[in-house]
Amino acid sequence: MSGVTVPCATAALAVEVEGVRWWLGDFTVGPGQWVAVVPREEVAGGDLAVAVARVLATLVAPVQGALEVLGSDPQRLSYLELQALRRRIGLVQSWGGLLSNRTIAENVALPARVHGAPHRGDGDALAAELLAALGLAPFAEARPHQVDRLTGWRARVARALILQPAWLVVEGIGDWEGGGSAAWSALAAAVAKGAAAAVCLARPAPAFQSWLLARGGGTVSCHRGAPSVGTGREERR
Amino acid sequence: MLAGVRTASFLVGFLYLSAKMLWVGRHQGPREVLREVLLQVYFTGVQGLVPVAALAVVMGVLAMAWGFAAVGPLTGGEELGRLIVLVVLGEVAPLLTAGVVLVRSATAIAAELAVMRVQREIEALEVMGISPMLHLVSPRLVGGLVALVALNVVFAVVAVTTGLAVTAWMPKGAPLAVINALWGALTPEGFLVLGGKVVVGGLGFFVIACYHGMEASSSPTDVPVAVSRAALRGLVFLVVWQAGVSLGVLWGRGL
Repeated sequence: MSGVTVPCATAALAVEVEGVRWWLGDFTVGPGQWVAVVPREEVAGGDLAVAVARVLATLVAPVQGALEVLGSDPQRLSYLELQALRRRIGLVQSWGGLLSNRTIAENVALPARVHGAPHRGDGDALAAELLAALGLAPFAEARPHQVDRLTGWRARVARALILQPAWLVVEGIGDWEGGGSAAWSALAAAVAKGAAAAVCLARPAPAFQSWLLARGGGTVSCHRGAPSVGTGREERR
Repeated sequence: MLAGVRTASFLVGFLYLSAKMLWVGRHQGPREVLREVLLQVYFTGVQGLVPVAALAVVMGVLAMAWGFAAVGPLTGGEELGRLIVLVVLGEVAPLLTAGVVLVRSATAIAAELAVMRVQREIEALEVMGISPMLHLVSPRLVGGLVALVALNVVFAVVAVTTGLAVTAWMPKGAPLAVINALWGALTPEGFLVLGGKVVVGGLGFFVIACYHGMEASSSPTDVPVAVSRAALRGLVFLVVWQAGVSLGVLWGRGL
């Protein structure tokens, strides 16, 4: 793999949810690979998936362990360097996250409007393509509060994909149902083109994990550790 | 006391960061930043036009009518002109206008930003490599300040015009005396003081509003807390600042 930047590598990584520490198994995800991060046991609420995703997406520092994303340790980067790194990261939040004062189309196009579309393309045209591919075209002019939960999730997938990220972090399985969905096909296509992805689950999902396994994906388990002594406050980055 | 100093230093740092991001992030979607600035000007300035103008009408009429009744018809014109400039334009206009903007916009900004935090919208911006300071805070400060200055001008113009209209009922020659006195009472120093009151006062409560909005945690119960802190601390800052400047001017004149 020399000369190829590893999208994500972790060592003894731990995250904290409401004072409980969760340890992730060490993993390295290369380009074109994906992994599901699954707790060994059922967890009340979806906070674990969100907490893991936040760490993997460089939003929050891990309470312990090492994380390398796209060849950098996020903890050692300045704010501007971190911003530049994050342009290459796509996070699909399981809920919220769409700007309520913008339409779905504007939300999807926003990263391209701010950073420029990949390959000097037109951000709005790219957004329209993604909206059509994910079945979101009828909702393009709707505001986030006017669409249902799964439509909002698909919009977040479209927004995460618009800058063609090298590292994708997905919270939960969204609209996945047995045979996948248009959104999951788009995510799979991004991975096939060389992105790496981590799907953070709040609870074991055997059917989804099998689906992922069939596409070359792996599973990393996380387990509950001893309660921490710290304050439990997360450090925003 | 220590907590107050700590909060004040946070607020100054917050203002510095938002100003710095305007320069550092100038290539990060300037059109999107401009869009946010214009939206803020619209929400604060255009939508606040009617209440500010209505207050200005009431103030213009009351100041002229009561002033005329108090100083009497003989020397009324000149005295009233000074009264309008010193009290209405110098004290009441910046305080009332800022009060309206504080109640309408600063609280709305604090609520909006706090809800954005709760709804993970700020987190979404951060993970896209889009600075929330540049795209949320700086435009609200710039747009809010532009609108506040414009509303002060509107208040002054409407109050003076209404006040002059009232002088139509005064003895012959009084309107001209009022206009002359108004003109004579306008000084560069007066404009400087007024500008300081409006700009620093407005910047202060907008920074307070943005800070408390951004400071909210992911809990929905933080939204009303952010709004209430923004309103109360903004009001305290505004009154203390404007009173402080006025007292400073009076002290400087040896009064």
